[in-house]
This record gives sequence, C-alpha cells and structure tokens, in this order.
Amino acid sequence: MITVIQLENITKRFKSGRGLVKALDNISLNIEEGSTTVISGKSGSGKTTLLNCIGGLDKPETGRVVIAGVDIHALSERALCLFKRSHLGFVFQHSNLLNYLSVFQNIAFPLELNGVEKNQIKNRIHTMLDMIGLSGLDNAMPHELSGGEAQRVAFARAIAHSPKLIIADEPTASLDSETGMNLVKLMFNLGKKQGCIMVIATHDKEIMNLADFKVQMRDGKIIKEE
Amino acid sequence: MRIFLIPLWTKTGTMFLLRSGRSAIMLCLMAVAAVSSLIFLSSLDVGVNDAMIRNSVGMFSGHISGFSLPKSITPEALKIEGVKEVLRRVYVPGTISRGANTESLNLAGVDPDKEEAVTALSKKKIKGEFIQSGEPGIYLSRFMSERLNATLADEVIFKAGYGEEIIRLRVAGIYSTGVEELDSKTAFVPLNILPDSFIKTWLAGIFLNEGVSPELVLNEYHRQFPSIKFMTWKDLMPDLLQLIDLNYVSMNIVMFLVFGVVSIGIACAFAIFILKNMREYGIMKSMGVTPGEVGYLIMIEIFLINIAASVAGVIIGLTAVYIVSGSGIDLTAFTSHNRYFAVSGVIYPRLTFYSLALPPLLALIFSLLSGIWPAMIVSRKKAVQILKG
Repeated sequence: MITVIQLENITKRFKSGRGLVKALDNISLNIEEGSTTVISGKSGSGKTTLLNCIGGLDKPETGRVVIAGVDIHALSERALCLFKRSHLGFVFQHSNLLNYLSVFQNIAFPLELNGVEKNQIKNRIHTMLDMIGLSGLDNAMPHELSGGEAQRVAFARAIAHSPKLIIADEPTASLDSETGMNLVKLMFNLGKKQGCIMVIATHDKEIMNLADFKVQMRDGKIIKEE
Repeated sequence: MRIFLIPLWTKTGTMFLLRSGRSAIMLCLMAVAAVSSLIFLSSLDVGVNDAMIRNSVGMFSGHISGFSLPKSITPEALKIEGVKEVLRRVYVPGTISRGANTESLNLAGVDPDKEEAVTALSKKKIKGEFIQSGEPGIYLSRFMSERLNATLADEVIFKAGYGEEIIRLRVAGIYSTGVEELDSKTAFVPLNILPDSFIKTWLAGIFLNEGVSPELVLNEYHRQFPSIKFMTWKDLMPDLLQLIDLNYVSMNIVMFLVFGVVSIGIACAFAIFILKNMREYGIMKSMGVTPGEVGYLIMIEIFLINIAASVAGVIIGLTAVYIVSGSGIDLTAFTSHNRYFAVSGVIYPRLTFYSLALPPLLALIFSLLSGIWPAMIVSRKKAVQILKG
C-alpha cells in the first residue's frame, strides 16, 4: 500500500474562555491509498479539528499535511481551493446541501466546478443516484428529503468528481443507527470501488468496526492506532 | 476566475434569487421604486425645460432670429427643411404720443394673421382685439397704455426716429406678456400699413418643427446666407439656457442623492440577504470555491436583481410618463407670474435617452458598490468559521 496522506507533527490551539486550548497536540499519521479510516473519540477530543486540517478547511499552527505529495498548507489560498475542488470531497454532520439547488444541481456542482462536460455530468449523476438508491429524485429540493436521503445526496456530491480523499465528519450523527449504518456501508463500498481514501469521524462503535484503520483520540492526541 | 465557470455562477446566482422568494422580491422592490420614480422625475424635469423653451420661443421670438435682412430675401427663402414658419417683422424705432404724453418705443410691423397662428402674442391681450391686417390699429402693452393714458379706440401718433413722417393709429388691443422686452419697449401694428420709407430691412422670427435642432438649421442658414446674422434662442436668451442647465444639474444632484440614500438601504438589505445565505457560501468554500468566485457570485446576484428591478422600474416609469404626458400636469398656479411660463403652465413629461438610461445605470452602480461590503465579509470568512456558525 502507498501512503497518500501524511500528517507530520500537527499542532493547533484555540483561544477559549478557559484560555488557550490545545485541539491537536503533535499529531502524526499516515493514511494509505484506498483505505477507510475511522477517527473516534469523545466530544472535544480534536476529531473535527483534525479532519478540518486534513481537508484544508483549517490551518495547523505547526506541522505539515501532505496529500498525494502536496503540502496543502504551503499552497496559496487560491491554489488550496483549486486543490480541494479536484481532490477532496466533504460530508458534514448535517447534510449541508445547498438549499437553493435541487438534488441534481447539488451533485452537479463539483462536477461543473471541475469543468466536466454537460452530457458527462448528466450520465454521472444518474449513475450516482442509481447507486445511492435515489433514482428519480433529480429535481427534489433538499428540504423535501429525509435525513438519510439528504446524507446520501451529500455523499454523492462528495464523491461525484472522483476525489482522492473523502472526509466525513460524523455523517451519521443526525440519523438513526440503522440508517447511519447503511449510509456508512454505502460510503465505504462506493469509496472502495472508486479508489477513494475515506476518513470518517464517528462515535459509533459499529461503524468503527467497518473501517480498515481505527484511530482513537483524546485531548488532541492520538491514543490508539489499529 | 475561470471564464468557463461564468455560466455556473450565473445559473447558481439565478437559482439563489429565484428560490429566495420574498426576500429577493423585497430587495427588488427598493430598486424598482427608486428607478421608476427617478425616471418619472427626470422626464418631468425635461418637461419643465421643454415648457420653458416652448413658452419663451413661442411667445414671440421663435427658435432662431435673423437680423437686418434685405428686402430681396423673402420669408419663403428662409423656409428650409425643419422650419415650420418664418415671420417677417419690421422694427421702427421712434416715439409714440397721445396728447401731452410721449414715449419712445420700437414699433413692430407684423403679419397679424401669421402671428396669431404661430405665436402666443394675440393670446396675451387683456383688453380689445389683436390687430387686423390692413387696419391702422396698434397693439399696446398695458405699461405703454398707462404711460400714454390711452385706452381702446384712442388715437395715438407714431413718429419714426428718422425723417418727419408720422402715422396715426387707433388702440386695437392692450396686452401683457410678462416679458419685459415686449411689455415696456414694443408695440405692434400690421406690417402692411407701414409706409415704405419705414421698411429698410426686416427681422425674421423663425419657428422650427418639433424636435428639430436649432443649430442644424442655423448652420444651413450660415451656409446659404453668409452675410446675414442669425442667432438661436440660446444666444438670445442666455438666462433661459442657464436655467435649463441649472435644472439638469439639480436633477442630477437629486438622482445621486436619492441613490446615495437608497443605496445605504439597499446595502443593508443586501447584507442581510447575503448573510442569510452565509451557510451556502460556506459549503461552497469547503468544496473549493475561491474567495474571488464567492465575491463574483454575490456580485452576479446583485447584478441580476438589479436587471430585474431596472426592467420593472423602467416599465413602471414609462407607463407613468405615458399616462401623464397625454394630458400634462397643470402647474399654472405655481408659474403664472413666471415669464418662462408666460404662455402655459402645463408640463408634459418627456422621456429622453438620458432620463431613461441614467436611473437604471445609477441603480446598478450604487447597488454593485453597496454589494462590495457584504461580498468582502463572505469572501474573507473561512469555510470552517462559517460552518461552525
């Protein structure tokens, strides 16, 4: 296996009412090509901050995040945006679909951003909707979807442009356990088929067991790696 | 920003607006109200200027005056393209007397029928009748009749400033125009009762068809009659020209002030509208949309909302101008003592390219300017800050 993501000595602190809080404390981690990794830990353990640093949403104070040989935080803001749009996909705790766009337009958005042809976009979206079991919902608006459906659309949007890495921050948190489990199984299956690296933060022990690698965090540190 | 993404941002901006429903409509309404009311006000301003010009040239002088024309040039010769009528006038300086009262004035020999048809002079009579062709009547101003102590049908004697010849005239009518030049120094008689010795040269009052530029006709006269002096109303009435310019400047200041004030309101409304959608921009940023592209998307939204508002504002403004321009707005009560409205105080709003184009253009400029601030707020915020809420 080839290491595609390297985290080297990542540190991140936040100012809060309780003073300076270390959200990430000298984190180093390697993630391999095509793997699924689950990051677990209690609230405040640093899972989300770590995912944000990996995904380029947040910048670490020290250390490097290297994805496919690119030190993403050394890039300019614009270059990082362009890197994110072609190599990364995000699924958030709440679906975070674009409310004013239909299901079709939401999934099409990253494809259009990457300059994919219209016909290809159409075909790709219909394939994606088939795979996530939402055929025929092209024109539905986000508010017309159930929580599980919305998360599936969010995942379809994240994977539509075949990114190298999909980051999902507690994607099942707002779903019941069965729906959540089905969503993660779907994500892992499709992710594997497309050769994406999946990094998921979760509290759910059953979901942890589905992943290739498990990383447990506490107080901004990795306390266990399997 | 990548050119191939322009359709995506335009489509996304349109979707944002269409699906924002009421808030987009409310935002639109502010600009609609500003654009439509300013189109109407601006065309009203053009109408006021038109009325002042119409009143001033239509009273007597005409759009162009020709001076010291020899008898060999006939009024017909001056009737070139764009000219509605050429009125022949002969001015004879002299004195007029009744009994012991004598006053100096310019006696104007005119063609009564043509003057009655083209100018408003005959409509300004306050007593008696306008002069009749071939009859030795005189049309005196109220000022002059009081100075001479003359009333209707009284005889007055005119003596030209040169020679000894006199003519006896009966007061046919008394007028008051409100124009000092006509009210204090001039009296009118039929041209065909003046002795030939009085007629050395003549003056032309040239009236143009609606919308014809005086300068174009003037240039043609200069080409055809290089030795004759012609002047437009702009040269003869610099005070009116200045007043018109002042009107335009005042209107432009009003437009800028209105949009300046409205743009503060629009800026606040845009800020609320844009900040309401902050989450959407945060999601886009997390997907790799650059700050420049977010700014562009916001500007596209503002541009689109403005286009819609401008179209609606122009239609409403046009309709209002169309409705009012038929009957005009009668402001006689506010203009009756004003010499620029001596004939009529009815204002007919008129649209010009300027009055139609400036309000939407200003709305666009001010809206885009007012959108810069919220666009910068969104562009500068990081996706993670926005999504954390």
